[in-house]
Amino acid sequence: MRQIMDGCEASFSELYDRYSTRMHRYFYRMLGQDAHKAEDFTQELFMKIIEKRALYDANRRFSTWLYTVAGNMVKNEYRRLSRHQSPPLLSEGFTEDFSTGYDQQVFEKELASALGQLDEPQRQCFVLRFQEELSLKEIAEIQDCPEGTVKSRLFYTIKKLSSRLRNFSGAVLLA
Amino acid sequence: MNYIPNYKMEPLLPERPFHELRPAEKKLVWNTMGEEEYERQFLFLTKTKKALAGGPVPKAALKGQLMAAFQAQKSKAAHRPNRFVQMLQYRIPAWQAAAAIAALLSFFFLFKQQAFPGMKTEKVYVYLTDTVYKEVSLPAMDSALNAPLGRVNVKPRAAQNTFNGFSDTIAAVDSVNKNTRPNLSPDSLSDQPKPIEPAKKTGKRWRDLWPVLGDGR
Repeated sequence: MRQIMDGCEASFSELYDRYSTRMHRYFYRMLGQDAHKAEDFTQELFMKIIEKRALYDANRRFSTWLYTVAGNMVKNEYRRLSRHQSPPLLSEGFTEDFSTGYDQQVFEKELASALGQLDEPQRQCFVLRFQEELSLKEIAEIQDCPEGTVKSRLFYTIKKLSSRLRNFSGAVLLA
Repeated sequence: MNYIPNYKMEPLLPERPFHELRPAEKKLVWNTMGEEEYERQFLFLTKTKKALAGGPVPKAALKGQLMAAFQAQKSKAAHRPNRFVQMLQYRIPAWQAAAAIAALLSFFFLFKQQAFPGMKTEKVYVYLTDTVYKEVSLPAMDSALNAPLGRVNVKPRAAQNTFNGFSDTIAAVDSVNKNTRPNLSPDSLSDQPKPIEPAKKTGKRWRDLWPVLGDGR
């Protein structure tokens, strides 16, 4: 990131290759699985890195800083949508096939719907832990809360989602 | 510092199968949700991780657009004038500049005329003190000290208020040497000066004054 701050193009290219897919999927999951919106947000996020790279604090981990910026963008989007309409729980773009079986597709659809009904901090916590595979400490830093709070949020989110998707227990889950 | 979970205060996340848990963790599971519920949540999480692993990827064209934006930003930063030039080129609305100049002029006009509105002035005389130096000729310090004792000239009384070049001090030291060291030898005791006795009251003085007082009768 320091090289990017000095204007190194190769470093920016490397950074994009490393984080673009992750951030795109993060936006995709957080914004109602809308692929087009996720792409717009990914572009906006990297434009922020280009234009406001001087604001980066070198003492922080880059990934944590990036997810914090992305989280703020998502919050702003929720705020904007809440003024006009309710946040989209599931978009039409979900029909993209990135699993093999029908059960898996149905499960993903139900999971996306259930995720859409969660509060924003719980959803972010869940996605960061089980999709982005960040540590509890990193999530705590992104959400600016103690690790115990993160753990508690995850526990109750898992409990809520698993009880909602109870129909998929047994044979489907074991598939 | 490694994070040490406190199972008494925090919940246990079902991220491992039940048989891999430590005895204390198994005990916690039995006391809170039960083994069956734990296993169900663990299976749900396993399925969820698999579902979340996939997802769309950004279009390849996006990278090209961002690289172009990065280059444009870089060239823009390279051609940016320095801070001093930026400050000189800074633009503000004309009314703001006019208002600032008018405020400055009115401020100086008001405070030049009178300190506060309504305050009157008057003329007074002011004493000006100054130190005036006058050049005079005096004996040098070294030459005064080298002079032999008893031969120092003491200045007349009329000139005592002026600076006398330490000659008075030297004379005083001389007199102290002469007067405060009495000669105590038996032969010299008779030479000691007699103390002055107070004047006796005599009728002569009153008699002399009588004609003056008599005129008052």
